[in-house]
Amino acid sequence: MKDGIVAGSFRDPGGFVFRRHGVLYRQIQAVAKDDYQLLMESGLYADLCARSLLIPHEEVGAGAGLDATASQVIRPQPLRFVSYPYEWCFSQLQDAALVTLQVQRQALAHGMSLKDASAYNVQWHEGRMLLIDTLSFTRHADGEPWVAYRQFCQHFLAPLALMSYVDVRLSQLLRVHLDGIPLDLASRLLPWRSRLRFGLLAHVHLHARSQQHFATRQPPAAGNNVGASGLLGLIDNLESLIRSLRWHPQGTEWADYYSDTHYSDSARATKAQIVGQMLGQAGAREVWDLGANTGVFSRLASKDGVFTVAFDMDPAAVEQNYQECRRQQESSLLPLLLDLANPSPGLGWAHGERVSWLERGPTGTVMALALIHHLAISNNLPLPKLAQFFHGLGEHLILEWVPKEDEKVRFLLAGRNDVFPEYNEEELRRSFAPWFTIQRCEEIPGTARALYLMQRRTPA
Amino acid sequence: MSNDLLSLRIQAKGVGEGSRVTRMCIFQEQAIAASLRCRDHGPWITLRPAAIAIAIALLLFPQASHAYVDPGSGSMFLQLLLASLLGAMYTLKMYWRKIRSWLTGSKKLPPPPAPKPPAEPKDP
Repeated sequence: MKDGIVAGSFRDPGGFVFRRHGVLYRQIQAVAKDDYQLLMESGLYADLCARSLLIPHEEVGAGAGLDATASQVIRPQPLRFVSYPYEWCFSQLQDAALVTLQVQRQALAHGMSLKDASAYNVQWHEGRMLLIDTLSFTRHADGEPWVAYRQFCQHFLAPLALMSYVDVRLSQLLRVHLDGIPLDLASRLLPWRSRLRFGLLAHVHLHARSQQHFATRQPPAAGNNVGASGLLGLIDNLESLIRSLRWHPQGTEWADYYSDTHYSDSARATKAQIVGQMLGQAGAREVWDLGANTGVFSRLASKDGVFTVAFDMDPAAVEQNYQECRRQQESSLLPLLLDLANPSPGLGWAHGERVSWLERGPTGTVMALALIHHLAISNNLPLPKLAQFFHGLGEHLILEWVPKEDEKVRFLLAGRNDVFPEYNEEELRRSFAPWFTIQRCEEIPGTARALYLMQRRTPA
Repeated sequence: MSNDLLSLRIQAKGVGEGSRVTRMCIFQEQAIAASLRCRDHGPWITLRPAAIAIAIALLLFPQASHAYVDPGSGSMFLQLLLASLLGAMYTLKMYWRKIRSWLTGSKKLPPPPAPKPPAEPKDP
């Protein structure tokens, strides 16, 4: 990542985020000075940090600012990986929503309020979702409504309701609608029975109609006061509603993969042993596991404290992986949703507000286990293109070769013409040779598969 | 809601004055107007017939949204409406918890968190 102002940090006049020598800082402008002081002096900051709801930071002084307009500069604890709501599974988005509501409740108790409720302000940090925008707080005037209510409903409630009631894949609407799913769209897509639940009736359906009604009219000016119990009641109701939404992963292609009889127990154990050795040989300090499924092999790295991001395109697999992370309180494994054939692009203003997946790399070690046949055969990607792609991702590559004789490849080819004469191990080696040095190759006993450990060649 | 604006909307929809959709549109607009009038006479927590009418009308006849004036106004208006209702329910819920804990003899619950009055701004 380049030094300078972070491209997506321009909406809030209260400050911005910038990088210097690779370290991330947040500059606080004079206009936000009072709110920042209140956050620190009211006890809210300490309270939120103690509850792991807000990213901790250190003050480094106005002199460290990018320009003379700084009134203070803070250095937040660095995040290992920035992820976006369209890369989260259902429970990750649900946890992010609950964190936002808990933060708002604590803020109100300290005379402050969240001035925005963007899902992009919540990130995964050391095993938990927490708020990363220290400048999201503003002084709460008595009787003032919650200005971020609309944003909360669009960023959290609408996608969660659609994922729960219609189809979990509708989370991808967040890729198109960066300020959350428009409520009129959510209202149209939700089934009629969703109106039978008071929370959805009020916060989505009636909300959408109210927005529509006042789109062309001025609202009544008098009586815009919300009492304390009203605000707390609103937050309490939203929290109950968010908690009550459910999605159970079941019956998808990959979620049951490891319960299949594809690998014998001994072959799986041998594969795990070889992968573990290769991770050690590569000296992995950060791992991206591509096609990670429920994270069985990702945990070979993360159990030793190696930060690992487990990417998979199946929402059910990512959901199961995340729930397991929560159960085991794993702080080194981040499961994310990603379609490698169509990874997250740069989005927003000038393509810079949300960083593309590739720009968030490279990493140390890439694992591509039982993946290459899906890319080469299901997605018709030639092996030389795959070699070049992996070269840009990390220093080391652990790749599982799945030949045509393998049962899974035979299944992929069963319903189509075999137009892949070059899909063979010899061609694999030839394609990867310009980009990687093969350090180790091991056959997996009891299968026709092989594991490769490769090191990236220095670009010419 | 002025009759002129209502007529424009009806024309835009391409329906006749006497059609069912027209009558429903008029009903819908009247329900909204009535609900706005009701707001001046009492708290929203008392669910008046007009409020019920607006809810039914809003739900039965979805329309496309073409927001171009302050899309947050509708959210604020709904929040004011919901906060009255949910605030009362929240207060009842808190009292009910206290009564229940008193009846069951369980440990006294801490009081519900309430927003503090904002601190006075400091002199620069």
